[in-house]
Amino acid sequence: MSDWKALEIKIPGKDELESVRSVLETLVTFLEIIKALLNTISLFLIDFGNPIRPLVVALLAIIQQLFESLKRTGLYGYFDIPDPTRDPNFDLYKGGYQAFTERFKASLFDSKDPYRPQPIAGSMQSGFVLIVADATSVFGLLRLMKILLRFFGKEITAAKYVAPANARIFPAGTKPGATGGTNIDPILQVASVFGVTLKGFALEWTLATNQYPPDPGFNDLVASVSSELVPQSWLIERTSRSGGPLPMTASAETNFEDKTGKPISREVVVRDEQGDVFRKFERYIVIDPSSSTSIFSLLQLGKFRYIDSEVDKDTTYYYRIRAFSGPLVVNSDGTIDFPAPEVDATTQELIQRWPTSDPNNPVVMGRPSPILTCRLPNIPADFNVITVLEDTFRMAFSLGFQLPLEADAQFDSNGLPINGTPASQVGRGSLTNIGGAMSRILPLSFPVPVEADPTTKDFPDVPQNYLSVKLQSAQLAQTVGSSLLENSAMLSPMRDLYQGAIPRQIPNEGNFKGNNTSIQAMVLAFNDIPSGFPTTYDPDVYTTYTAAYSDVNTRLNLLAAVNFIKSFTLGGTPVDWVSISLLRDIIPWSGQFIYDLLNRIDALADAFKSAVDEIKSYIDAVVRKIDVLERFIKYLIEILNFLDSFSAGFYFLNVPSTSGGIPGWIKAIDSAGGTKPPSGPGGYSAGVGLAYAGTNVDAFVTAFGLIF
Amino acid sequence: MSDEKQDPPPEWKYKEEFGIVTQLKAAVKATAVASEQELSNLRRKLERLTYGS
Repeated sequence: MSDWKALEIKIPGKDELESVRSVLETLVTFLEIIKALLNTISLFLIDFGNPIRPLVVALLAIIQQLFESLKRTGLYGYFDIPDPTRDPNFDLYKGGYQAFTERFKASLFDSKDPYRPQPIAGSMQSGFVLIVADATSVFGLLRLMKILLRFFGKEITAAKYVAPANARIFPAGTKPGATGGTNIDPILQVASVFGVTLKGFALEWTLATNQYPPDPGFNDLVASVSSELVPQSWLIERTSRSGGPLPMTASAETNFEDKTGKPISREVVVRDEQGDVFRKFERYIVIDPSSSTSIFSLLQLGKFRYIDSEVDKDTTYYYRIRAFSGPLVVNSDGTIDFPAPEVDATTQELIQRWPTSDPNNPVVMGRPSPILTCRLPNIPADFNVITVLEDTFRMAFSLGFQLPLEADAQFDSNGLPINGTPASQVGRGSLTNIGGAMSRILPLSFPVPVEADPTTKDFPDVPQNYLSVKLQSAQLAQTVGSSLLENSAMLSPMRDLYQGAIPRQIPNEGNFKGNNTSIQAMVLAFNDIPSGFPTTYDPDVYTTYTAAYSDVNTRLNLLAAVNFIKSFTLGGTPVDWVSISLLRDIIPWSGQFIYDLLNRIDALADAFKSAVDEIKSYIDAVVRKIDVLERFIKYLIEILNFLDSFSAGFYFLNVPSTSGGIPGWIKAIDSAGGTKPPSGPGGYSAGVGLAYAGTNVDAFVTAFGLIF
Repeated sequence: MSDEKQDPPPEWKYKEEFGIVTQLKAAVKATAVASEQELSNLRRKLERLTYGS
């Protein structure tokens, strides 16, 4: 049952009184607007011989009288309004206005409600007004209640959707074994991305979990379950605009004026209904659970998945996902024509609403997920990126590229070692920062012939076959692979480097035999270790390692590949770019010269000024007055539009004054005639009651008669 | 016979607009008309100042 809220101006700061206080303040604000209009008119010295003037004077007297009365007596508010989050079917509001008045009457006898009005029959005057919204459907009642509550400066609790949780995006493609080409799945590992034909993106998300602390009455449970049961759709927002979705702005006038008296306009950020910056996307994809059931194949797991295959390669896309309900209008090409932003009457901020096809059923839009970014790389055919990267790192770590360079090592301009610097110094220091635990891996020298350990019978292992080297290399290959997905333009140059002619000739020994024509062949051959090694003896593995370790050309080839990889990932190479200003940094004296020139031009212009200025300033004053008046009329039109938004059919029962106490109220309701709300027992009714009681309620009678 | 005045029973009324909204609209419209009139006076004055009478 709805409770009464009391208002006593002499007991400030009591939370329970706030709702009624704000209602009264809203009504007083309306009266104050009229007062402000009168003041503005007198400011312009307009001859205002209109009958509206005595009306305004009377209104001002009423405001004063109303506050005087409030000091002596109390005002009570009764808000019998639906809460869609707790009663989504509006079951409590069925039964038409008869049910409403029964609830109202019962509230007058609710002994558990300390704020209910209790006028004493015979010694106190009291009165009340009932404003009833009556409808034949849930949506009709919701629309009316929204208007009614907005009039009182309040909001109805709408179904609010929180942001979806665990939103992720993956490239999606056809798995190598799949047939038919329609079986598109998300690729969950970076390594796999380079091995399949990519077709689009897979977006995944889950319902948000309840983050609120539990309460003993399980109210949070009821609220969250009901909001999840309200049939919600999903909106996927997508854009490929460089830099991500653009925050929406609109031109708005400020309180500042330019020299001619015109207000200075500036672009202000438009916000959504939740107060977040509104970001506009290029394309909107609506997912309706009732018509797109295939998309929800994972629904039973609480997970949603959507595959977007209408994307271009080598383009970065930005996505967001959000829940919504209501008939959102989306064009056939996936765009949305947004209406002009509205000014929020409370915050004075520009608010962007979502277009709806049914004004009685507005779109309720939930909060969005964070922005997800993904790019579909254009992967060159016949180039196994991850394997090549992995083998490059394995070879580099085996040859000691992670070890620091000796202090006396010297090289010529081509990178060749000079002055007795050994070949094994080439490439050292290039992977120092990313070697991690590899700094303990030292290159080995193998005796010829290689002999098995007398105890284990195993032959010595080569560093590229160490588990730690393979793990570190695989990890780095994944990191670089991820980076390549972002910078896929680098894939083709990388393939050219690896598959093009080898820059420097390498020894034609061991596994390098027949595999010495490209860097790709070189790194693959270096890591070509047969299964069973080192238990099984393979002289080629040792020969390959020894040849590579001591060969300057092999090391320089590998260093070229390592430096290429490092150039776009793993920290880049010095020097960094800096921003400079042409005048300040390149030609420092020119700035002062230009400022001097501007000053001289200004001085010249001043010299030509004459008495004509005085006439001009008078004309400017008139122009300024015209501008101000034009703006004022524009403001009046905005007020009229605002007032029109309150137009809706409500049923009023005004019982201005009775000395009969609560029995008198009951009798008044029961005997009331006139145009009663028509919906009947099958309809839905809700509304607001405002009541007063005291020894003298004349001010309320006058004010309520005027307001309602 | 009682001297107490018997009030007529109250009546439900259907309204498309709140009373205060009607009053406000009337005030705003009247202000707009007066402002338009003042505006046209000013424009005439400006024309005379700029181009002469």
